Amino acid sequence: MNKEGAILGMVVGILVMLFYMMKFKFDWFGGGSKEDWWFGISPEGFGTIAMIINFIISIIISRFTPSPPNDVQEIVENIRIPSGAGKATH
Amino acid sequence: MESENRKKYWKKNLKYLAILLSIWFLVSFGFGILLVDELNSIRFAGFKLGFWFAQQGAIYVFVILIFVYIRLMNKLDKKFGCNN
Amino acid sequence: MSIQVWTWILVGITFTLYIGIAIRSRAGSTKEFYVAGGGVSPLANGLATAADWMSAASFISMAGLISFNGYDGSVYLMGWTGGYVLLALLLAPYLRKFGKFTVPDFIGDRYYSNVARSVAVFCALLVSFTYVAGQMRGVGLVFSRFLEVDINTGVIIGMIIVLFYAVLGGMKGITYTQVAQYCVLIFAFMVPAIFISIQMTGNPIPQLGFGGADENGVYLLDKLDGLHRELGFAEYTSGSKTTLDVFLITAALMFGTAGLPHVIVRFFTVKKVSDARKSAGWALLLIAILYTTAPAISLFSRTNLIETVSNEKYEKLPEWFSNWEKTGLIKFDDKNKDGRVQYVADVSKNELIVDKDIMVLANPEIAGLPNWVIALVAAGALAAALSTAAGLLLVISASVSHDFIKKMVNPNITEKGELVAARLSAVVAVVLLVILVFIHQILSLPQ
Repeated sequence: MNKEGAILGMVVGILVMLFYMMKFKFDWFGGGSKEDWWFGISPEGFGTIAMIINFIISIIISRFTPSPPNDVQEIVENIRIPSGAGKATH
Repeated sequence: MESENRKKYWKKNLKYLAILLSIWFLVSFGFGILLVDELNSIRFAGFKLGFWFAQQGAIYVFVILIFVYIRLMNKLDKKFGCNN
Repeated sequence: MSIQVWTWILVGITFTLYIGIAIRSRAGSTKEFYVAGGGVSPLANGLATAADWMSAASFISMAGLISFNGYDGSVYLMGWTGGYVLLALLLAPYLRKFGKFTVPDFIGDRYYSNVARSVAVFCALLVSFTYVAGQMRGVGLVFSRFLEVDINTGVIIGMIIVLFYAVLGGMKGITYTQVAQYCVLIFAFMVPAIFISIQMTGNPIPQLGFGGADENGVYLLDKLDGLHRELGFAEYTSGSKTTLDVFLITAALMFGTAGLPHVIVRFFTVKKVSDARKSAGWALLLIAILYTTAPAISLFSRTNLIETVSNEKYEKLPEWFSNWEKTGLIKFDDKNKDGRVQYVADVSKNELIVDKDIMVLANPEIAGLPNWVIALVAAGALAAALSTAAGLLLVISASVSHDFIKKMVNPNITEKGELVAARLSAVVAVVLLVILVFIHQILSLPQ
C-alpha cells in the first residue's frame, strides 16, 4: 500500500461519508428521507460502505502507482516483530 | 531476527489472526445478526439464544478472544526470542 | 438530604480527587504530555482506556437507546466492543512498535507524505470535535437536572475542569485521573443496576437478572415482549431494522471504534508491545463489566416505565415524573382528554414523549432508590463524560502542536515551545467548543 493509494482512498472515503451524512442528516444536497436511502442503508450504517469504497480505491490506485521506497518497506517489516520497541519518541 | 525466522513468525501470527477473527465474525455477525431469528427458537434460562448472543454472549467471547490472543502471542514471542 | 445536596457533595468530592491527581501528575516534557512518559502499566492503561472510551454515550445514552430499540440496540453492544478485538489484534501492538506519539504521525511516516499526514489530521480533528460536543451535551444535561444549574453554565463548568487537568497534566495527568474516573463510573453504574435487579428478579447479578423472572415466575424478557405487543410496538427481542442495516451499522461501529484517535493514542503510553496487547485485553474486560450490565438496565427501565406510566392517571403519577417533566425531557399531551397516559406505538394516538437520554438517569428514581444512589449516578455520568472529553481534547491539542506545528510548520520548535503550543491549543479548542455549543443552543431555541 503506497501513499497515492492511501491518500486517495482516505479522501474519497471521508468525502463520500460526509456527503451521505450531510444529505440525510442535515438536508443538504437536496436532502431526503428514509425512502431515498441508498439500498435502504441508514446514515449510521453507511460508514461501512464508505470504508469499503476507501479500500477498493486504495488497492486499485496503489496497483498503478510506484511502490513505497525501501526504507518504508523496512518500517513495515520492522513493525511486525515486537522486540526492540524503543520508548515512544518524536 | 533473520529473515527466515521473521517469515515463520509472521505466518504463525497471521494464522492465529485468521482463526480468532473468524470466531469474532461468527459470534457477532453470524449468531447475533444473520442467524439471530433461527437461533431465537432455542431458549435457555429466560433468554432466546440469538438475542442473548447479540446482547451479551458476543461480548463474553470478544473478551476471551483477546486474552487467548495475548497468551498465544506471548508463547510465540518467547519461542522466537523476541519477547522484551 | 435532597438529591441536589447529595449531588453537590459527591460531585465536589470526585472533582477534587481528579484535580488533586492532575496536580500530582504535572507534565514536564513533551513525552509526558503526549504519551505519559511511556511507562504506564497494562492494568492502569486498561482502566484509563476504559474510562477514556466509555463516555456519556456509554453511560447515559446507550442503555436508553437499547431500552427503546430492543434487539436493534445490539448494534451498540456488539459494535462498540467488537472494535476492541480489532484494536488488540490488528492495531495496538504494531502502533506501539512504531513508537511515535500520534496517529497522523504514523500515517505521515508510513505513507511518506505530509499530504497523508494532513488528511489524517483533518479526520482526527473532525472526529474529535464532533465527539467532544456530544460529551458536553451530557455534562450540561447532568448539571441541569441534578444540580439545577442551567445547561450552558454546566457545560462551561465541566469544560473548565477538563481544561484544567488536561492542560496541567497532559496525557500523564489524564491517565491517572481516568483511572479514578473508571472506579467512580463503574461503581455508579453498577449500584442501581444491582438494586433494581434484586427488586425485579431477586438476583443481584444484573447479567443473570437480565434473564430473570418476576414474582410470578414470568421471564422479564417475555413479559416485555408481551407489553410491547399490547401497545403496538415491535417486540423488544425482535426490533424493527432490516438485517442489512443492523449488519452495516454494527460493522461501522466496530471499525470506527478501532479507529478512534483518543483510544489508539493510549497504546503509545505503555512500555512494550506485549503490554499493548495486555492493556487492550484489560480495557475490554473492564468495558464488558458495564456493557453486559447495560442491556439488563435497559430491560428493567423499559419495563418499569411502561408498568408505572402506561394507562395511569396523570395526577397520580409518581414524583420522578414531574421532576423530569421540568427538564422538558418527558412530555405528556392528553390527546383524548381522558386524564390517563396512553403510551402507544401509533404516533397519532401516542401521548407520551420520552427523551431516551433520561432512562439511565431516571431509572433509580423510577425504582424508588435512595437519594444518594441517584446522586451517585450523576457523579458517574460526569466522570464518564469528562474523562472522554479530556482524551479528545488531548488529541486535538496534539494534532495542532505536534502533527501540524512540529512536523510540518516549524520543525525547529523547542521542547518548551512545543509544550506551550500544546497547552495553548487545548485552551483555544475549549473556547471554540463552548462557542459552538452556545450557537447550537441559540439556533435550536424556538423563535
